[in-house]
Amino acid sequence: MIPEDVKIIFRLIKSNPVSLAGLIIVAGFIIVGIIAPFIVPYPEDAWGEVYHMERRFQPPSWEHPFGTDAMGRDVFSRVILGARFSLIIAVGVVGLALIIGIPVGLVAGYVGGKLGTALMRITDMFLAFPPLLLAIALAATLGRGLVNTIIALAISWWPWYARLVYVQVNSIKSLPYVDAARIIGLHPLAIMFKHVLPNALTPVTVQAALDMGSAILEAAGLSFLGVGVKPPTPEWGLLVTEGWTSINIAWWISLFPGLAILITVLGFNLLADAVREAGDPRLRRILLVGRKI
Amino acid sequence: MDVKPLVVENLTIHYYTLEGIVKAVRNVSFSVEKGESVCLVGESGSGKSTIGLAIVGALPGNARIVSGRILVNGVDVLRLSQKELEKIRGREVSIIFQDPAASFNPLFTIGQILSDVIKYKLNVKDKNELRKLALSALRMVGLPDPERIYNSYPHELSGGMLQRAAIAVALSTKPSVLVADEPTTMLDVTLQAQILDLLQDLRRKLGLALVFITHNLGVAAAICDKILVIYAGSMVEYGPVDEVLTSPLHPYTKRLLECVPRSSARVGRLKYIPGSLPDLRKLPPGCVFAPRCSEVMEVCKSVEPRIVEVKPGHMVACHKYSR
Amino acid sequence: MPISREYIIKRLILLVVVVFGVLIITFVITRVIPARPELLWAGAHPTPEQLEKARKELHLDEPIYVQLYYYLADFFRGNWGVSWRTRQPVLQDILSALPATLELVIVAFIIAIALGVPLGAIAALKRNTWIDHVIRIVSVLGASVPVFWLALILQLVLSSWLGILPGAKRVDELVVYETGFKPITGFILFDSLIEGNFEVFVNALHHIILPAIVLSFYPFGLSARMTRAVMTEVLSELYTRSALAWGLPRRLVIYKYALKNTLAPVIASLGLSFGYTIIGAFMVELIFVWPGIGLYAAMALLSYDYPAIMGCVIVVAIIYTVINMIVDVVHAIIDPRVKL
Repeated sequence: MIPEDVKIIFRLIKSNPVSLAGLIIVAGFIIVGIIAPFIVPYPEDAWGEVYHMERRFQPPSWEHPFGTDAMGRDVFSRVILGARFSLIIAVGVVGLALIIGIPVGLVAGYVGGKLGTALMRITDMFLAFPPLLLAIALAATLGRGLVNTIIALAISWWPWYARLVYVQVNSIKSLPYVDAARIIGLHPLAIMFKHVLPNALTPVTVQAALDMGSAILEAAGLSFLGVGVKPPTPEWGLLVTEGWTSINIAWWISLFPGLAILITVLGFNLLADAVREAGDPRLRRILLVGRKI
Repeated sequence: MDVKPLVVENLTIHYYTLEGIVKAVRNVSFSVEKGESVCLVGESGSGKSTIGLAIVGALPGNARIVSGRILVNGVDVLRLSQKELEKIRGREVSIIFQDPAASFNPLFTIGQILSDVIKYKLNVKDKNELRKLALSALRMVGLPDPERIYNSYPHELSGGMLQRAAIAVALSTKPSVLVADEPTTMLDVTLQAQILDLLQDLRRKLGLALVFITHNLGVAAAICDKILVIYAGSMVEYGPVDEVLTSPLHPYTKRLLECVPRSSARVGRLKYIPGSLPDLRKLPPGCVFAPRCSEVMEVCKSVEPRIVEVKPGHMVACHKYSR
Repeated sequence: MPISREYIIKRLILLVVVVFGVLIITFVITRVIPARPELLWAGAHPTPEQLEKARKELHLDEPIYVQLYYYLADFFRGNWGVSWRTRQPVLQDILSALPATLELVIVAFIIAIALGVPLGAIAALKRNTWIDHVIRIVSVLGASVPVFWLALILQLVLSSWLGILPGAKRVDELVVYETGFKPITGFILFDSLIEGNFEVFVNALHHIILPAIVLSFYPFGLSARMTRAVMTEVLSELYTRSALAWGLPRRLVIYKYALKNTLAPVIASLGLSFGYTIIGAFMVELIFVWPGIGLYAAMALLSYDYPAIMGCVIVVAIIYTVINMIVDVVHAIIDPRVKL
């Protein structure tokens, strides 16, 4: 993608209120995720290892906008700090998945031959699993914890990026300018790093950035199934789960962290939709356009 | 007096795009008699296809007809409601496109599409009758083994066969006007001649008013009665084909004719017109061809030339001929 | 479109290859990655004897390739180990739980397609109007909502607070006893219908609504988004414009022609979404106490019942593969350009 494209994408997003909402949500999430530890009203509650006997199960109020939980902790503080953990998970999962997926796709696509075929066969084997299923199997083996959650999700995730890079590299490889570079005698490695890689990487990085919403969602699912992060980490999925047992007397404990997941993931997905449409030249042509066919 | 099958008056069409408003067609007028064929000739991007699409009411969603009239058998199609337009499409005007493979839905057989068109346009309900009509339409365009074609999917047929099939679909409902949008550009030369012959033949037999869109003056010479030369969305010259080709008036037409490679002119270089089409979003004042014109005068750069009739039936838009 | 025998054989071979792939990956996960695999297989608080027994059963003292051989052989013999929680053979547990889950997922998909495809088509036709915006938000919502949270909230509101719908189980035992209902296939809706047991059918339908709605969110959102995107593209294709220009009525062009072009990619995407949906069933079944493979897997996860977990993983992966092969075949039936 060239800067011109980025400009057009921004204009399209700005012109569509729904897409703009997505952009604002994502930006807000990232900002809150970064500054969360400095703005939480009850830092001790947020990090979790406290017990306030006197204020358990308090419904939402001015002091505790999201109420308090079974251990008397301020749910609002926990949800705000949760943004930090969701951000860590999101960046960690797609980052690690890219680190594995890009080299595999690149080598398989550029080198080709037996090695390439073998690499892609392995990739396909991973793709035979529903994504979250493989993560569950891994998480159950590795045990609970933030790092294990990230590893489990990344390992179920990288094959998608490997495929994407592979397809990109294959299509770029046969472009005339790469042929030209080969003919004038450039070193294969130079061609790979100077000409193929940069062009193959843009789509996969964009895709990865927009996948962060799904990473947050899936990490929450792992937490709910008891193979995600460990308590008292204020990860949103775990917060929802913690409220489950007392949901009939204190609905707010589960409601608000769930809403936080919903809104954040929604933001990423709306943005992803917008970028996907704007990135497709054929769709882009019809975007501004009326609805008549 | 007979009503002309097709009259286009002062047609102006804009495209609304992200990059701005493209003034694709400006003030174009022409008419076609029964059994006559008119060629719209111009470079790619000159707006000639847009005119064709406008005639059949199939412009893409971001195009707006800003002004002008299109009269089909005396009825202004631009004033019709969606419903009324639907009736006219196919029944009175129809079209064939440049890319026959892309103009057929890949998931349906030729027969399914053809019999649907006949069913809804000619109100034929009986299945056997439908099939008979469809097969006779395929036979009409000289397709061998119509039964097989009827049951074939588009990807199973060659480009030439598909273009014939498209003609069969377009003419199955006996329209009075046919727009042929570069129907031979994507075909081999031998096929090209066959399709042109077929169109000529059908035009005579059915008394079709044919609007033939092409960038190829050779093709135009072979098939047309009248020729309309378009440059950057405006008409530059309009007249009988022999007149325009043998004694062109507009500098653009002259240069265009010089560009046609001839076997007699083996020696020397191929000719071309220096420069390129102007940006249709920011048109220069004056004549649109002025920046590329070798005979440009001072007035060309500021005043847009009006189209004037120089000889009977032969019109040109150039300051050289205006008084 | 007739499907050739060659194609079927090719697909079956591919299926076998994929199953081997799945088994090898699960083998690596269960035997190679953990430092002491027997700890995982011997239950939550194993005695030294249990550990020793697990080591024997897993052939951990043998070289890795021998372990792999036994692993594969056990799998094909149907010897998938014994669940620590239920004390039953895992394969037997899974097979008896499967119909409940399939019934739930099928109903969820019916809801998803029945709503998603028409709404997506409407959004494409009314592009950039408020209807489009609303449909778009709703459909993206479907893919963004944490399914367990949705299940908890809907169960709380609709079942606990308002009492409109039952919030747990497949059917009331009382109704089953009173009417003497005996399941045949395990698909209660189906069984009660063919037995003419209307009371059980209505009761079961009543029970399935809430979990099925929750589960349908993701595939609904996906099918609506997919339909919208593909439909938009199809409507801009030359073949759509030529069909209109040749005089076919707009309604026909959209609902007969364009819809068929839209269907193949939408079905393909639904095949992929099946993976998410069945994992969603793990959570939804746990919350609604729905006695399917999801509840079984979720309970296994929460109680570290490792043989049961791995059995579920393998079964779900195989179902997922089979579903996507069916999707391929359906695609080929719709699209004549795909060779069978």
